[in-house]
Amino acid sequence: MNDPLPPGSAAPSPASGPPRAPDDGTPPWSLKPRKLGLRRIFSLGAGAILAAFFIGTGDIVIATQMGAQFGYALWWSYFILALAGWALIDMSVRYYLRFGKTPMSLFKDIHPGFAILLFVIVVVCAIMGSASQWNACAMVLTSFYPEVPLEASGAVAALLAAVLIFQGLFDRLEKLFAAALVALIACFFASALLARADWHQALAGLVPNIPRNMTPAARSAWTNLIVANAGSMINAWLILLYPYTMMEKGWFSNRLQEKANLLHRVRVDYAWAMLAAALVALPIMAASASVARRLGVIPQNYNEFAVLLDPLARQVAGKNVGKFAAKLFLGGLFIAAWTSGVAWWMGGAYALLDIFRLPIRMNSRPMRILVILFLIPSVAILFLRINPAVQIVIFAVFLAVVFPVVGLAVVWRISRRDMGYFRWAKCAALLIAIDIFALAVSILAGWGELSRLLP
Amino acid sequence: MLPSCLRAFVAIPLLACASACAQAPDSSFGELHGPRLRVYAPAWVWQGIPASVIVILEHSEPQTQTYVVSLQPDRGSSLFDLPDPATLTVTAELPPHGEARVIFSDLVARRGENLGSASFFLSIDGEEAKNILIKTVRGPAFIAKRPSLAALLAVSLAWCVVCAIVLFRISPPGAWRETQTFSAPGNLPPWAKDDQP
Repeated sequence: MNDPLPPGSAAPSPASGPPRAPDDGTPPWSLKPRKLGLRRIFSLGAGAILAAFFIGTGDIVIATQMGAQFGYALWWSYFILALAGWALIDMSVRYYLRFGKTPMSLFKDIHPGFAILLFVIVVVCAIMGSASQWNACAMVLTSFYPEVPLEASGAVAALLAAVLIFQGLFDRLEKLFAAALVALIACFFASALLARADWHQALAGLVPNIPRNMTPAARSAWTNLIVANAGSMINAWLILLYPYTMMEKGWFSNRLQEKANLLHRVRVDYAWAMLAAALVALPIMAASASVARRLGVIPQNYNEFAVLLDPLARQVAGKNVGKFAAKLFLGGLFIAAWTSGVAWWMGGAYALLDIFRLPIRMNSRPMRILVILFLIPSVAILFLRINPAVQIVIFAVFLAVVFPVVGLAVVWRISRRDMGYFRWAKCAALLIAIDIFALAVSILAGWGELSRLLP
Repeated sequence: MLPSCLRAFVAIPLLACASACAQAPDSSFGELHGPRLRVYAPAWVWQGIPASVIVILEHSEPQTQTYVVSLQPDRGSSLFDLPDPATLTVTAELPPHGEARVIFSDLVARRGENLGSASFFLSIDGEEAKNILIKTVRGPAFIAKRPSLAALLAVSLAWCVVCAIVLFRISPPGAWRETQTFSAPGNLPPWAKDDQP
């Protein structure tokens, strides 16, 4: 393991079990990482790509439904689920730093048969996930240019994404995504502000609660939204994405202190990503609550939502800014959907490269081949014109169903003693608690969805 | 210099914002009997997906006024399934110097019908206030969730076969069974490096 190999190069592991690492003698979690200083605040890097996964059409649809039906009352669920998502990402990073192995190796270590299951999950999720994002992009473009067919708009968005990935410039992609994340949060907050959202109740939404005197239908909707949110926030195999971004940047070391420094830094990065996913739900819930409460309509799709913001938007300097509010919302939606579509392709391609031991690099021929393979079916699905609101809920169900398998495998693997310095130990009781909590959340979400699907 | 795709990424939202008048929602103003009228209606709807028309009445009168707002189908009404006719006539009460909102929802373009345009008369106190034209476009192939899921899964699973064929051709034999290790080329950022020798 200590032999230097070029990034992304593949080598089979020795058959005699996991290799010995230089950290075997050091007590677990005993090293002090380097202080980050201001980097703690400005450390959003690859986390922006991760955030792009979480802030897609799923997040927007679920936040819209939550806001319309329950106001801010379910905002807390984002933070609970974000904590679970953070823990699962952290587990994959710990495994990578410990063994220097790619995320899919974690499953192959358990049994090579997992590779087949993950292959199917990755292909299906990457196609369905990206298709729903191109669909949303198409709806935004078509709302501005009604004469352009939906399929053509979606194809344009998908082709733009392919061109971006084909350039193979990871650093540039990272910066673009960080800027896009800031822009979309600004767009959603501005549109909610213009729609005169009631922010006073937002803080109360941070406290976990169950409204009293709910009708059976409302109780069912409440549970379904939390489960769907789990499917959206804990994105099955996508929680394994972060180590790939570390490989792109060459962030790996055989020295234990440097591993500790890396872990400390990247934890802040994906904490920002998860926080952004929770934060962006707020203005969407706020705007949706305003629409539902003042107009009595639950929006059926993005365009209708945008239209409904128009009459709510306030007068500013004597001008009606309703149209502007609608455009801000649609602009935020386009950015969120497009970046999420790119991230779905990249995450899918990285995972397939990993499964088939191909170079894990954005700037490689196999990566481009995979992008073309994803492009064709994800654009073809647009011709079915399935309402993305329906599509993404179905998709969240699918993710919630497949996730427990992935979660169980990850937790089982990182809880073994050969994790060395990063192993579960008495001094890391909080970490163990969070890991188990994340597993419990994923199993509960999966069970909740399964019980709805089964007769 | 920004690469072309990044320029396009920036340009598309800007172009979209510049074409405000092309936006699908139709919002318009009209004057009628004193109250100011605003109508928000979609310019097009998907077949099978419910749509809504919002009417906002506002006035500057110092006393409360009551109006009967009605949305009646006109040309091409067979393209739509409409809710109970009683729900298409609403009494709106405008408070002094205030406004009232009226929503006509559940206007569903019929699936299987030819595409076309339908017009609706919006009347206030029996007098025509606005003619609303809504175009129908082809809607989703499936409305229900289960067939939607089945269709998406069928396409995705079929594509798994294509992906498998391609990946087996470009990867080493038996690669899918074996684990992969990674080692950095030693370009760690300064903040990650260990100062100790």
